[in-house]
Amino acid sequence: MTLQSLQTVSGPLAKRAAALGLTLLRVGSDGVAAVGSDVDWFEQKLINSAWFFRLVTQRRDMSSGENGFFELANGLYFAEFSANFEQAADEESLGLLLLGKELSETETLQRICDSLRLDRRATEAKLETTHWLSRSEAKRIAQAVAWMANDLDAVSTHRRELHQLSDELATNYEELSLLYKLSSGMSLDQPPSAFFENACQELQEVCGLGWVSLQITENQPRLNQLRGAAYTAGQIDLRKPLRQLGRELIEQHAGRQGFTIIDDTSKLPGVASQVSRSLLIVPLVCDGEILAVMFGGDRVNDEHIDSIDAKLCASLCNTLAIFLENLMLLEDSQSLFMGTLHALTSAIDAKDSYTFGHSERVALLSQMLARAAGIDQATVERIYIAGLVHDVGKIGVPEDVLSKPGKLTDDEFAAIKMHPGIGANILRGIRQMDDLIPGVLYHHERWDGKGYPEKRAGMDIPLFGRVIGLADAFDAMSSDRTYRSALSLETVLAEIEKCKGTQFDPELAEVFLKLDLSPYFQMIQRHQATQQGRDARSENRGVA
Amino acid sequence: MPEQPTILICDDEPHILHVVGLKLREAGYGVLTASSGKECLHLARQHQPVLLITDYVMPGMNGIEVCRALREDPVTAEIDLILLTARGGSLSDSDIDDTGFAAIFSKPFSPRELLAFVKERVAIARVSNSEGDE
Repeated sequence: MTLQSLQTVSGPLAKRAAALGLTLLRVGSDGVAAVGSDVDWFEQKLINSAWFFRLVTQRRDMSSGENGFFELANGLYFAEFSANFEQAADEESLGLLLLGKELSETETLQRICDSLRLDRRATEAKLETTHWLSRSEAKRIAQAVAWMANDLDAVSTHRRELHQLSDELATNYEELSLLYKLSSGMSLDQPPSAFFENACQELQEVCGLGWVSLQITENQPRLNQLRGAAYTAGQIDLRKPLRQLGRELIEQHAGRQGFTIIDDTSKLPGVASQVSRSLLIVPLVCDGEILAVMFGGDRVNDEHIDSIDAKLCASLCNTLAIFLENLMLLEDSQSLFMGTLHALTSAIDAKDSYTFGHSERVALLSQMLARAAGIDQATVERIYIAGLVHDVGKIGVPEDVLSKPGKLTDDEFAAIKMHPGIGANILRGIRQMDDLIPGVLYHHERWDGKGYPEKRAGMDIPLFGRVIGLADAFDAMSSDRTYRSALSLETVLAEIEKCKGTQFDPELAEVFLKLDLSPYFQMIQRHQATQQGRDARSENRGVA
Repeated sequence: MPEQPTILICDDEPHILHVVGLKLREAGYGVLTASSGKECLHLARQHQPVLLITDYVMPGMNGIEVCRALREDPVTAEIDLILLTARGGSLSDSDIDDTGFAAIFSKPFSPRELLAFVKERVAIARVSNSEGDE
C-alpha cells in the first residue's frame, strides 16, 4: 500500500474497524499508533509498549508470516494490508491487531503482563469479557479487512481519477464553448477588430491570465488595414512596452509552431522582462508564415501558466489564424474585383474622354440617391458598383459616333442604343457581377415606357436601372457634351421635376430633388483638375 | 449564514453531473445530483436546494416538466431554475415564460460562466431571504 492510499484509506477503514470492534494500527519507522481513538484499554497498553513495537518491526524476519498475516507472539496476531513486501522498510503501513485464544492462557498472559508491567490478576479480571479469536477466525477477519482495504483503496483511486477526468472535461467544455462562440463570431461581415477584441477578452478570462494581447504583423500587405494592429484585454499598465514586445515576439517566433511558456522572462532578450515575469506566447501561423502573435501573462492568483491554458490558447489561435487567412483571401478577391472594375471604367473613359469621370459621378449619385431612398446598405454598395460600370457597353460603340459633335444619324443613334445590351453581355460571364446587369441593361429605360432597349415601363424597370438612369441623366445634363455645354443646376433640377412620372420614377425623383449634392460638385472639381492636368501634359508632350 | 447553500443538478448524462458538480463543490457549494426528473423532484422536495440546474431533454420527465412540477408545489416553488439545452434545441417561448428560468445555458456551455451565474443567483437569493427574515 502506498503512502498516499494509506492516507485516503485509513480514515474510512478506521471507522469501519471501530464499528466492528477491531483495532487498526499505523506502523511507522518510529513507532506504532492506533488509528482512531476508540481503542480498548489492554490493546492500547500493548500498542504503546516498546516490546510490541520491537515485535512488529521484526515481523518480516519471522518464519510464521504468510501473506501479511503474522503471529507476533503466541495468540498475538498482526495483519498487514500490503501485498508489496519489497517496499522501503521505513515506509508507513496499515495493520490490524487481533487477539487470539492462546493469549488468554495464563502463562502467555503472565509473560505479557511482565513485559507491559501490568498486574496479571487485575488484567485477567478486566479481560474477562474479551472475545478471544481462534487462529482461523483471526485469519478470516484479517482477510476480510484486507479485501475491504483494497476495495477502499480502489474506490479512492477511482474517485481521484474521476475528479481528474471531470476537471479535464470541464476544461474541454470551456474550450468547446469558447471555440463555438468564436466560430459563430467569425463571420466576415462584422469588423475584424471587434472579433479580435472579443477573442482576447474571452481568452484572458478563460485562461485566468491578467492580460492578453494580440499583435498583428506589419509585414503582410494582404492584411490591409489590420497591418500592425494590436488588441489587448485585461489589466495591464499601458506605459509598459507592450507593442514593442509584440513586435519582438513576432520576430523571435517566426517559423515556429505551437505555444511557448516562459516562467522567467529575465533571461529573454528585449523588453519582455519589463512587461511581465511569466509569458504565454502563441504564434498565429498560416502556410508557415507568422501573421500575428498572441501573448499574455500575470496569471491570476500568481499561479504558473499551465499547459492546459496553453493548449486552449493554441487551439483558439488556430481558429484566429484561419480567420486572418480568410480576411486575406477576402482582401485578395476584393482588390482583384475593384482592380477589374477600375480597369473597366478606365477603358470606358479612354474610349469617350469627353465624359471623363462620368462613370464615377454616376456611381456616386446613384449611391447617394439609393441611400436617401432608404435602400439597405448592401444593395447601396452594389448600386454604386453598377453605377461604375453602367456604360461599359460603350466599349463596343465606334469612337467617332461617341464623340461626334452635332446631330446623330438614325444609324448612329441605333449604334448608341446598343450599348446597354453590349454592356450586359460583357458582364454576363462574371458571376460576381451578375446582379449588376439590370443597372447596365436598363439605365436608358423610361418610366413611361419610351426608353430603350426593351421599352420597359414603371416598376417593370428594375430598381438598379431606375436609380442609375436618373443619376445618369442628371450628370449628362450637368456636364459639357460634344453637342452642348453644361446646363445650370436650376435648369437640371427643373428638368427632373418636369420629367418625373414620364422619364423618371416619380418617387425616386422626389428623393433626388432633396439630395445634398455637395459631394457631387466636389467630385466634379476634382475631375476637372485632373483633366486639366492631363490636357496640360499632353500639350507639353505635343510641344516637345 | 455559515451553512453552504445546496444546489441540485439533474441530467441523464453523467459527465455533465460530474463536471458541474466538481465546479460547484470546488466553489464550496453542497451538491446533490439526480439522473432523472423523478429523482430530481424527490431530492428537491427532501432537501429544498436554493437552485436547480437541469437538463431539458431527458428520458421520462423532461426539464420543463420537472420545473413545472416544482413550481406547483409550495415546498419547492421558490427554487431558482437554470435550464441546460442542446444548442439549437426546440424550446417554445411559452415554455420559457411560464416556467420562469433564471437562465438557459446552451451546451456546450462554459462551466466558468455557469459558476459565475450560480454565484450571482445564490447571492441574490441570500439577500432576499435575509430581507424576508427581518
